[in-house]
Amino acid sequence: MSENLSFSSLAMSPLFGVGLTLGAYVVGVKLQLLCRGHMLANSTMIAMATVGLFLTMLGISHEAYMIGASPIHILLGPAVVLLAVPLLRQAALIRSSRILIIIAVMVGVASGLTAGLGIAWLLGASNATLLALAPKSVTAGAAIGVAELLGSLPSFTTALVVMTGLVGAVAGPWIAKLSGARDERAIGLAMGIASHGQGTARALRISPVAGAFAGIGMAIGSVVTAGLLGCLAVFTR
Amino acid sequence: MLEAVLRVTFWLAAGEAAARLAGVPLPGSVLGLLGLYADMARHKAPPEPLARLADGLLPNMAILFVPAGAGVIAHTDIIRAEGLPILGAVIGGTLIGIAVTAATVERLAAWEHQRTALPTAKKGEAHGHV
Repeated sequence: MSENLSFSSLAMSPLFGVGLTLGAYVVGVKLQLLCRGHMLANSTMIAMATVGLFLTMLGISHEAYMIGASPIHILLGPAVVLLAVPLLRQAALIRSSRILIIIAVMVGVASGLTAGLGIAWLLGASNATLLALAPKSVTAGAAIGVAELLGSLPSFTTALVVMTGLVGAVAGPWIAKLSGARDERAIGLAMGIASHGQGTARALRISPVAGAFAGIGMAIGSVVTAGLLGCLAVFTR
Repeated sequence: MLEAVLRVTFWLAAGEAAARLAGVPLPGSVLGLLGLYADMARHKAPPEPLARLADGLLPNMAILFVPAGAGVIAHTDIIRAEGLPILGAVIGGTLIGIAVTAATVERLAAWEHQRTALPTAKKGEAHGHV
């Protein structure tokens, strides 16, 4: 009994949470190297699956792991704020591209929402799922707020947000190039608007310009989407 | 260094507070980003300690999503119930969104480039004829 108790407290300790996360990430990076950097061998995706597998094998709940992993999870907020640094480094280019940015946000938010919800509706999603899918391109924090207003489960919305981010981070550069984009501003904006922080983190690895434009796309895109859906939820109540 | 950490924390807290005051669920961290940007905008380049902090954290930003991402496993039951529409929307919607946005911006950028580059191109042409 006491042995069980001490084991469950170890599961919630940062030693386990941070250690498992870092270890899983190293596994992901090594595997991606082994696969010669193939996009489907994405290190973040492998790390998430490795952690999930470990938790299932050891019978540890995600909530318990999350308590220990909070030192890593909590850095998300500061990381987003720090995106101001790469943005400021491209301030001149951002200023001269402002019309491009505004159009990108309008097109990106509209196309992402209609395509996502349209596909789900065509494939027979329930109304509850449609509502949970709406804020999927917004950064998790605001998406959860929108989810609560729309009456969907916050942790379910978080899962959808993370999946959306993963799709953008894994396949974003590929689909952007496939659509004919060569301009790094186009690639960055598209990834930031469609797949928030995860897309931005990936774009930062392409180039400083792609990263900065992903950051500005994420920033304006998520404020617009969250504001839009939030107002809609408030007014239709 | 500590001052830079404090500055980031301040703008994150200010952003979260502003987001709550807005009455609409806006992303607090993004408001904090805009705050820090405005705060730094008077400098030509980001102050050295902030730059070092960003260059340390941002290249490894992807790892910060791992704890939340592992939670997808915890929701396989809900996702499985409506697996096709959910996966279709998440994968299809995101890819279509990226493709449409990237293609639009690329066209605009090419058009903008052509418009600004046209006078010099003409000059070059004229030079060639002469």
